[in-house]
Amino acid sequence: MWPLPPIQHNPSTLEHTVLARLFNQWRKLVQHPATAWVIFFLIAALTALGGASSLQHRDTVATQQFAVISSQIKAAIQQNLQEYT
Amino acid sequence: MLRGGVGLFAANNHVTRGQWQRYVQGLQLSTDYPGMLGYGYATLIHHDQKARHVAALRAEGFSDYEINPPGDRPYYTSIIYLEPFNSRNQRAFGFDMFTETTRRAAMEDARDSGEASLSGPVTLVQENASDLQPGFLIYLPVYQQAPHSLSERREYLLGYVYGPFRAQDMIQSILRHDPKATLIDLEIFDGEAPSVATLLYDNHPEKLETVAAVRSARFSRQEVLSAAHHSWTLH
Repeated sequence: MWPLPPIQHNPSTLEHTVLARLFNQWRKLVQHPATAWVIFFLIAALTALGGASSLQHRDTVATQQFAVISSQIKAAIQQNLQEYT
Repeated sequence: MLRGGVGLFAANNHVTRGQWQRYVQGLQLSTDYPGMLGYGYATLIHHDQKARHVAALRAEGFSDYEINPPGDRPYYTSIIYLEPFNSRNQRAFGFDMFTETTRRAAMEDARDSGEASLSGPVTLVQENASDLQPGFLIYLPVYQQAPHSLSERREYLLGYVYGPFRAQDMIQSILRHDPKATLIDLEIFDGEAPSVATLLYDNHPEKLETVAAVRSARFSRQEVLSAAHHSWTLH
């Protein structure tokens, strides 16, 4: 159903909560479906970008840690082989 | 460490079995050098010295001593000292390592360079049917006097001080001090072309399906290390 119906004033429900106020603000803001879609896609794109960036950062850190561990293992084996000779 | 054995020969005209035994006992191989099965000396014997050599070893009390494998060759490199002289190492006693291609390549390299040379993967003579794992050897040449050229290195060669290693045991002993090593899946291959045939060490053997699977891991890195004229690839 469009536009979204307001939350009914009922002191025993969500009326006085922050969530209810936010929801009502959102309802007023998106009276026009096109605006709602633009906002929706904007939020989705930003979320995706943020997620991708976070994953990339995690991969970069993991790759760096992996490289450090690999180099340390290589150095330890090489040093031991040299000690044997 | 192996250079110490070369030094022992340099300091004495002749190293006896007892001297070798005491020297190696002092090194505490089992505690300080895990994975190293023994500390040995293989002597070079020219064909015309063979009968005298066999007689001398038999006179020491080894009445069944023979150079293995049997047969006539221009020269032999028989293992005469290998400590600890336990039942496992006694299997290598008298073995002519020059008769096996992989060992021979490393021995020739050590002889001609005058430096330590690490062999490719071999099945050690000491291996038995249970817990079979790849092995390798490190050789150092012993000369009767300091050589100054390639021809002198070949002419003055007396034998080889060497160490036989079980690859899994040796590498595991190095990495056991590093808890980070358990966090990754590590394979070590002989040479620079990883394949199942050249696999020396794997810390998660159950995970090694194919080399392609190893290569497709999300985080993978390949490192090549060089030691004693030889390369290993860490993956």
